[in-house]
Amino acid sequence: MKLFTDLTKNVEFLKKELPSSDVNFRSIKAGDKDGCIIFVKDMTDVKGVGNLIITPLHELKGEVSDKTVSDALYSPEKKQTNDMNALISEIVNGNTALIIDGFSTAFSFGLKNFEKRPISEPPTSAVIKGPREGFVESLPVNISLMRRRLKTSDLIFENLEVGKFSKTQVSLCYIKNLADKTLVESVKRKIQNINIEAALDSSYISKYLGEHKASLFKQVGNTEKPDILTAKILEGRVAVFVDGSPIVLTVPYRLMEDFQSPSDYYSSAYSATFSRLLRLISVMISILVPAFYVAAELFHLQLIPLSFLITIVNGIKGIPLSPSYEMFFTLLIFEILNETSVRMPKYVGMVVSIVGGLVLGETAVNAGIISAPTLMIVALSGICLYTVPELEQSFSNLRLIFLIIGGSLGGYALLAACAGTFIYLVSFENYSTPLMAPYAPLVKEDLKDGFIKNDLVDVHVKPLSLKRGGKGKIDKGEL
Amino acid sequence: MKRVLTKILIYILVIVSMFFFSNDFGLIDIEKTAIITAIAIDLNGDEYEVSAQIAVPEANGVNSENQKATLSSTGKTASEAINGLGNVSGWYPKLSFCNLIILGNELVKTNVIRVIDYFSKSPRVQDSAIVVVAENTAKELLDLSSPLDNISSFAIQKIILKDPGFDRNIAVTTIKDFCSDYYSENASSFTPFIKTEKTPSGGNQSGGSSSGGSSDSSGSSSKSGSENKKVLFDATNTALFLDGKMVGLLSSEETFAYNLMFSDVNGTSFPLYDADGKNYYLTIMRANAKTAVVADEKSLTAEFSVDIYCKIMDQNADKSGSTYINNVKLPAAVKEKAEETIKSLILSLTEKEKSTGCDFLKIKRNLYRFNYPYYHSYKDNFLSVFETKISVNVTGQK
Amino acid sequence: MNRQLKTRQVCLFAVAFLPVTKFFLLPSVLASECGRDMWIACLLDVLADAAAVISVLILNSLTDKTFFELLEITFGKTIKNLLLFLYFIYFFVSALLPISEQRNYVDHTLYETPPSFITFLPFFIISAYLGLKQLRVLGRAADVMWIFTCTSTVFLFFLSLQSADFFAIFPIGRQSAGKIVSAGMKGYGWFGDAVYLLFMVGRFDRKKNDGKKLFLSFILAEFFVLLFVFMFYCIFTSISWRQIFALTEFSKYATVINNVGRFDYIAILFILFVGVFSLSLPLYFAVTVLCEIFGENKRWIFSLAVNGGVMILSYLLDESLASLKQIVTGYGFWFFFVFGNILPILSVFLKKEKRKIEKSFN
Repeated sequence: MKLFTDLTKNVEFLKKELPSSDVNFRSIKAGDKDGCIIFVKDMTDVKGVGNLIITPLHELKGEVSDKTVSDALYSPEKKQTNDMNALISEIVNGNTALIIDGFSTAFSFGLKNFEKRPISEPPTSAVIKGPREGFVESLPVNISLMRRRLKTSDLIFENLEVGKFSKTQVSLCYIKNLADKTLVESVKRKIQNINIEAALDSSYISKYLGEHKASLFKQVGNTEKPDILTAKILEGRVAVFVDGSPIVLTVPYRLMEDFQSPSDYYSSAYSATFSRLLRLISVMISILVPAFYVAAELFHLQLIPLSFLITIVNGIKGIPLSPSYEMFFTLLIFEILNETSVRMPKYVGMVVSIVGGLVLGETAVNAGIISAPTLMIVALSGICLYTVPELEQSFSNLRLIFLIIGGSLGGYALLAACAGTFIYLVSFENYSTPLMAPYAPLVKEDLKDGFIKNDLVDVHVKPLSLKRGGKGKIDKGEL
Repeated sequence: MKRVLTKILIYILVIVSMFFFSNDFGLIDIEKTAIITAIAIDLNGDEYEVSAQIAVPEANGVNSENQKATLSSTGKTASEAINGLGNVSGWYPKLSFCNLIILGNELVKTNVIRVIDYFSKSPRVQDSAIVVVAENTAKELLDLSSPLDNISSFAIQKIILKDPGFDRNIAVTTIKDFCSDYYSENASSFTPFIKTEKTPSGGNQSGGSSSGGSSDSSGSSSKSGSENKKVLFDATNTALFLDGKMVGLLSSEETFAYNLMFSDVNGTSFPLYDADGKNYYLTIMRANAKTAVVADEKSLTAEFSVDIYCKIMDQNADKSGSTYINNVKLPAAVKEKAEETIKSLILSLTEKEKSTGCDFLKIKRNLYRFNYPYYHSYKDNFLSVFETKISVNVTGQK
Repeated sequence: MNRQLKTRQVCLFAVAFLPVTKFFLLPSVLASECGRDMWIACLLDVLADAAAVISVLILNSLTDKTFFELLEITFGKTIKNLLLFLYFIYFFVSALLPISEQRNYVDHTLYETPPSFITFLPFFIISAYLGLKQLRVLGRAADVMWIFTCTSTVFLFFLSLQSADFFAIFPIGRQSAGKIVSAGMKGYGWFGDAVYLLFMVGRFDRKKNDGKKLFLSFILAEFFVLLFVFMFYCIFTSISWRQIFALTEFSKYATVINNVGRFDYIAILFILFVGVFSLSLPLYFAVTVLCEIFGENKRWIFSLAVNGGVMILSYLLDESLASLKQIVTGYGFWFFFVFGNILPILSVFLKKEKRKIEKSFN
């Protein structure tokens, strides 16, 4: 809808469209013409409006035109539009609008000013060595964090809007010659096609960026740290910033990414290798040990060393639950405790941990409801899973599925389930990038930053398994 | 198609979950499982009596000592008797952890392969289990206990399975070894022969002497004099089998000589009496033994050569009363005496082979493997025609 | 479109998947026929396969076409479909014994109580799922699986060294040539690996010396089997013939197992894990052949049908493993030999179009 040239009509229309009480309409005089400034009170730098818009407008004398008004205003961020909807969108986004009687276009000024959380270390990826900055909920701040790290004209941000009501600003970030054009287009298309009422967090967007619906596994990478994002973008990935979310999404995603911790790059190759292998082993223990333990107890006693078997039998004497029920319910209690400690306020969470972990566990064993080995295995499994916290959700579901298979059909079925999961994972591709690269398919060059990490000076080649623009593009046949 | 696949997967998961929660899948109830640690087999007339020693775990903290139960059952075949154990006890007999098979004195007079074969062929039994022969009935041996472990089979295993570096004075054989020897060209095999000796009553010591005066024999004594049937186990004798029947016995010294020829005996010690007017105790640091069979049209020779590098561990104090031991240099008299002793032991082994017919020295097997052209000429009369050539070289540090 | 694999993946495919199915019943079959000379019989099978592999590699170096395309060029569509249908039967039948023997193995060694039929059912579900996938997935799986096969096999060999009597194979060649050849014939049902290579012709990229690499990897795969058979006899000697569950028995005589417990099961479970893929191979290729004849769009129906068919048959033959073994090792030899060896050798004579000049991909 086009703007009216009559100020009163425009103001009336806008008042109807923006009836909220926090939207301010302030009449002003610009030379020989009347005008109106419209802004959302709590989102606007009111001083800036006074100094940069109202004062220069008052100083205008005589006949004014588009050009004289535009030249007179000091605000550095300035846009002109003749579309009423765009103007409304600018206002609700926190910008200040100026309408002048008789003008067919309106002005909007970037004078947002609302409360922001200061930049701090993200709790999900704390490091001992390395940068401690983390993204915040403000998109401009996040963009500035990236700009500070990549001082190149090739760093591109493309702004999009998602959410019928939320009008959330989403910004695509990539490096022009490194990111594959089709990848950028594909991501852009997917975001443009999102039809939701509100995008309250980046996780809303991530659901739409995945190419496989109802997948148990993560399909989109994410990070809260600008240094990690910089590295990912330099590898040819595309990042998606969402206003209001400190978590930035990246595509394409490889499973290996989550085994790479930021601290790996700030420590020696040996310790990084050790840590990564430890993470891999921990994840395997976490997923498989509860299931194998129950399968061994029910079907394959010969797999348990005799002395340990005697300990187990000692432990389970008098336990009313069968091994499978026992493990299932203990895992369930663990998940409940986990959920509670996340949701509870910090000081109560501590109490829950103590009560749940120590008192409940100890009492349950003493009361003969669960056996000590089972409790130990669930605890081990729980701890191990958190060595790769990003995969916690996918793998805890997998652990439960494996437990059900192992407890009902035994070890061979469990092996078959592992094989099925493996087939699923190796055939899984997102944006033409295999999830299991660089191991399946084997991409020799990328192994340098795999579980066995080479020294940083050797890892000069960007991942070939990622679809990239420019040099180093890999042929599909390799994958 | 993907939707169909997802639906199928969900159905499968639901069905599997039902199995999981119904939990009735022919599962083993772990508490009703009898963890059999040893099987003793006796022959009563034409029936086999199988006794099983079962480890009975105690609830946490109740008793630190392993508890046991012994069950017996009879049958015309070994498997019938073993299954019978389950019928009388309600337990599911679990043989995966059975590491010891004890053969009774009556059973070994018949062809024991009829019994051993069951254990060898059954996939649910470890054929790495050790086979031993009891001096009396096998069941009696199982009923005994040792202060080292309440479960006699664990105590027997402790003395039989020693880590490298300990004395190797027991000729160990497993079910698999016994069977493969039985079905080989010479049909000869061997097993440890377990003797028992009651401990002095009220004694609270371990060790002590046992048969044959061998001070290195494995033994144990009771913790408390009030407990009955606490005995020493001695496995240093070896039963010889031909065609599955026991045909002879090797003494402790002969067993040591046999191990010297066919096993790794590094770290094993042996006594040397009256050499240079003193008694010595030598430890083998390194031994290299070779056996060979040389055959031609006219003769068949079994060659045994042993090279031992050893040191003196102990000796009687000399006339000056000095207890200093030069454990590296080997006096000429000691070397000579050691060589002579070992040579006589090997000779005794060859004579035992001739007298029993059991080819435990593997002469016939070596004839087959390495002198096949002469195998058919000597296979029936090798025991009577083979000559022995023995060379023993004992050294200390030069 | 056809180029779904890299040479590396075909090489690793051979090393990862081909030896595993031969670790179960094959050694005892060879041992029962010719005892200590069983490794010679196995060598004969390996040599027969080597000849077929060489022939297929020559074919691969002369054409860019797939085996299906070559058949069509040479014989026309009808004959091609007929031949492919025969190959479908070959794959279907050749899957039966390994699956039944593995099921028997799993039932008897892994499960304490005689398990329900349903315990082995997941294999067929996974195999049907694999049947839906493109060949590329097998290549990617091989990229990882070879580590399991190699480490597990080497680990088991290492543990078994202590109990092996390497002189047990003497005197060498005392069995009559007839017996050795007969053992080789009986064991051939487990071989015929060149067929897989034949069905991958034209589907993988080639560069200079790739032929050598492929040949060496197929030989390495069969060398593992030969070594396994050799070690098998050295461990079990005169009772080898009755060791039908050799894989479980192989390493348990090591002193460390006595002390620590059966941790060798880790390697055995790894082999069984790879075995899921190895056993699925004939079924996968049976599905591929059906897709070639009737069209790709109903792949999931073919996959369900083939796996369902083998599942039903394997359960029907539940009590007839001995008879099945007798058929495969008896008259079945000619069937397996013709399709697994003779036809791959003859494939080199298929009509070929001139090979295009290869552009390097990298």
